[in-house]
Amino acid sequence: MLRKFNTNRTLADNIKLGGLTAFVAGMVNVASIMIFFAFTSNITGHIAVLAEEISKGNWYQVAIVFGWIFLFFSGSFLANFIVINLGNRKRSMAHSIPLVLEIICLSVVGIYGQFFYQETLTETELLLALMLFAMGLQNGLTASISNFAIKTTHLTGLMTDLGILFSMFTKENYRRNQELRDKAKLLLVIVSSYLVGGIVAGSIYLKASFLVFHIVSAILLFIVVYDYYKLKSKIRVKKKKLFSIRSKFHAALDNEQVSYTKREQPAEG
Amino acid sequence: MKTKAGFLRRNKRSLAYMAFFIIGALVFSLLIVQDKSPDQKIIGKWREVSWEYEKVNRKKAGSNMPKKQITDDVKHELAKNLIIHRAETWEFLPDGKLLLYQADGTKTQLKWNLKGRGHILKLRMQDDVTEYYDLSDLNREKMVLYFDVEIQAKGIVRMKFEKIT
Repeated sequence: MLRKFNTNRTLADNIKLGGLTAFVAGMVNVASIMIFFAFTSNITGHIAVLAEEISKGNWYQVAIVFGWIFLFFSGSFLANFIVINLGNRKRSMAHSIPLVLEIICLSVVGIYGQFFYQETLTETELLLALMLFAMGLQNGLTASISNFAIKTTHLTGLMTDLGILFSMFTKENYRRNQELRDKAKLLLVIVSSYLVGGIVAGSIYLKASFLVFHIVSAILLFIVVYDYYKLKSKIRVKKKKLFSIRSKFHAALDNEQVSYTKREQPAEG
Repeated sequence: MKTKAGFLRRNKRSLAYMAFFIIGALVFSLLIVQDKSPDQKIIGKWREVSWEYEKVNRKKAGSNMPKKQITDDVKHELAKNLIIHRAETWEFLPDGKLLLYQADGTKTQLKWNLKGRGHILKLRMQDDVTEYYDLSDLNREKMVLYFDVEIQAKGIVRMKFEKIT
């Protein structure tokens, strides 16, 4: 899911990564609305609110919303910064670090919320800031490694693309285009996963409350571990192949030596 | 020479990026010290000035609905199922307590919190009944709250307050 980069990624890689991360984004967004009364995975609304607060002259709220937007931006910046600077040497690790950071942020929200949250405004603002940073990290990572094919935290652009694709499919030649069909499949998976994630978070929130964030962290951890496991098994298969080639080579070499010795023996006698 | 120029260019770029993030942090800090937070602004005593309909669902409410201003009788009818029932003066205390004073001198104690960016007021009774109000305007003199009324009127009510102390 995470190892492959840009054009090396298959549709299956993108569907797995897009589906799981969109599910996470849906859960986080719905949980944040229900607990904190603010969105955390989409920025369009925050930009509109920022404009509204500027026009009203509410400078404290302007600062808060500006800070949230800036943190989402910083998360996306950091994720791509890690990918492009560490990616050439240790790609798997570089692609996992943003997710690990996201897990840390969301676990802090979950643990703090469960044990220490007193519902003060400052706490609410700080926890929302962490969640926006985490969503920035996730969106930056998925967009960066998939060559901008996967964006999972907001669906405006995605719905636009789906609308365009579905109108293209009214023509036979576009319907036969495998690339377009794959894209539509990926977008549909992302939308449905986001929706299902939201529904799950909404349904379990009343019982689970801040545990929602631990479930989200567990899903993200699964992505990282799954990729690590895949990488390890790939290395094991490669090692096995190399070992069998080497063994065959040695065996061939031994045979060659035996036949050489056999050829040499009569001359000595 | 080329290497030195490259080094300078790289450093310039890094400095520009650092400056960008520092400026972002500075803008945030400058903005936040300009104003008090809503949970500081709300502290004090507020007197109800008026109740008005912001929006009315006329189909459900019927054609004889008043246009804007809400009379005392209707207000009491709308508020009879609300926590804030018949309160005339609200006193927000810094420890999260809200005291509601009625005209006859009775006092009710609630808990209050602000949510989101300070635009949602959460009120909680002792028995954990919770209500949410939209805090649309809050400054030194004025506070405006909105809430959805589910009974009879089916519309959005705007409550205006003025600060006493």
